[in-house]
Amino acid sequence: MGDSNRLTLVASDGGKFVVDKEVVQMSVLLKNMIEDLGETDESIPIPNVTSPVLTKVIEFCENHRTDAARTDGPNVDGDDARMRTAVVSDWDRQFFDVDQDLMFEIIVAANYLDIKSLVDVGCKVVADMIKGKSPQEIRDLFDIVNDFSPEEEAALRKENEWANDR
Amino acid sequence: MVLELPTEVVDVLVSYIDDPHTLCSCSLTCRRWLPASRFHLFRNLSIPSRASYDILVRLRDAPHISPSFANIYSLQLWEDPDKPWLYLVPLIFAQRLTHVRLLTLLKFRWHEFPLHPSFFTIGFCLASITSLTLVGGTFHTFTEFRRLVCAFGHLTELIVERVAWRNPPMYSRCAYHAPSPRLQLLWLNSGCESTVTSLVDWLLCTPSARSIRDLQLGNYGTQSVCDMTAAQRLTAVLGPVLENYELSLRLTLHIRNVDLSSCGYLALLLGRRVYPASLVHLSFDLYIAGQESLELFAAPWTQVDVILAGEVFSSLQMVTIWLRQVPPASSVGLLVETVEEWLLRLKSRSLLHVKPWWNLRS
Repeated sequence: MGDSNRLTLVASDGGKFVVDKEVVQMSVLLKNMIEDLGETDESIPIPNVTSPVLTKVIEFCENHRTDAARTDGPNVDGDDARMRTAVVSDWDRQFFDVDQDLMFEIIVAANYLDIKSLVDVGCKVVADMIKGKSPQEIRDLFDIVNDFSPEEEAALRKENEWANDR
Repeated sequence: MVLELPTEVVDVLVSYIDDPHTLCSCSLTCRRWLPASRFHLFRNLSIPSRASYDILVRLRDAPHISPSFANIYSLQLWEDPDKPWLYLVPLIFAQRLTHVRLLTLLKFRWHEFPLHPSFFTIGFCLASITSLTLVGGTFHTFTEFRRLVCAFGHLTELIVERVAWRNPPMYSRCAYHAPSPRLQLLWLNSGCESTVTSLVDWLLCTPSARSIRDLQLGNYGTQSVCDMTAAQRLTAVLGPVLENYELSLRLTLHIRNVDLSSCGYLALLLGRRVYPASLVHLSFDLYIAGQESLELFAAPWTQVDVILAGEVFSSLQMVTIWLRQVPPASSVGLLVETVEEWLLRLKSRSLLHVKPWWNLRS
């Protein structure tokens, strides 16, 4: 029998990662799998996530492993009209200081693995990136095809006039 | 080829966008982004002008827009000084704003355009309101202010920022027997002592004097509300039941009389007026004007550290210090370390969190 507190994750490209169970339990998907499997030496395949992305996801989980305990106190970063929710820690900002493709892959992997805090932080960082951008600039950033007809887009722009009047 | 974000991730991403201009851009990006963008445009609806209001009035019956009004959670209304329109809201949107919880009224000048009595039916139209924010406005009388606050039967949060009234209360301060608010949170910021006095005198005669658990005192210009006599009286009354207490302190140094602004008073306030039995969270917003004054501030803050680390404050779970303003060209990281050194006892107990405000990130 191996160490019962650790398990092996296998990325889509075959890369193996031995990690603490406590760390990966930030993933709701993995937490449920561990509970279902019970005590086992079997590796857990992560078919949708490559090794470079899984490395980053594990790095995030290891850094934030004690967050759950910390948030038991008063929630000063909770819903607050004075923009405190917009704070992304320096560590998290540096964590996402990667090329854009990898950033999006991390967010998609976090969504697949159901790691809410990583999805949230990633989306906050991306939200900051698109702040003030035009529709076309956002499309270019995400490689999105405009599927509105010219008439539909014109109608939407007219509807939105109330929000742009500042 | 950029990886396509799943729709549920797009929904989270859009939820973190807080400015209407970018949300409009997102809504125009593609069909997949439109529902979440429109939801959040209306979720926190800000109507910045009469022109915007007129457009929304035209849209309110459109089948694809009409349901969005029921999704409004937070409503911000900016009065137009040339074409006032706020008084129309209860009449035009009465049946639609059924789930609004947070209402913010800004830049109103109701001393020039006295409110029609029908406006106070806004409380019936927006019966779900629990939080009222009034910013940068003037009432004709204190009575109108009070009527507005009392119009919302479920109000638990009142934020009053730079609000004034031309005429003070004309009655004995306890003579008003209409239903009164039972607030849990009060945020108060004003540079006018008589305004604060009127408001405090009234609130202390209402059930709020026993129900407020979260008191937040700001500062206006160089004056901190916590330095005002009425605010100190309020703090003393609420002290035994306060759970959250937040002070905005402007750390300025007047060279001639070595006035430490609010610092000197703070130790007195914490030592004698705030009863720690139920205080769980204490936070400060610090506006540090100059680098040269930091050494002088160290002594009173060390005193604060001693008081807060004492046995009587054993209920404290967190002390948060937000750096809201720092001297030009100073290192935010070094300032965080400096403030942490003032409060070493709290830091050693892991109670202290010193954080730069969101726009001061180093």
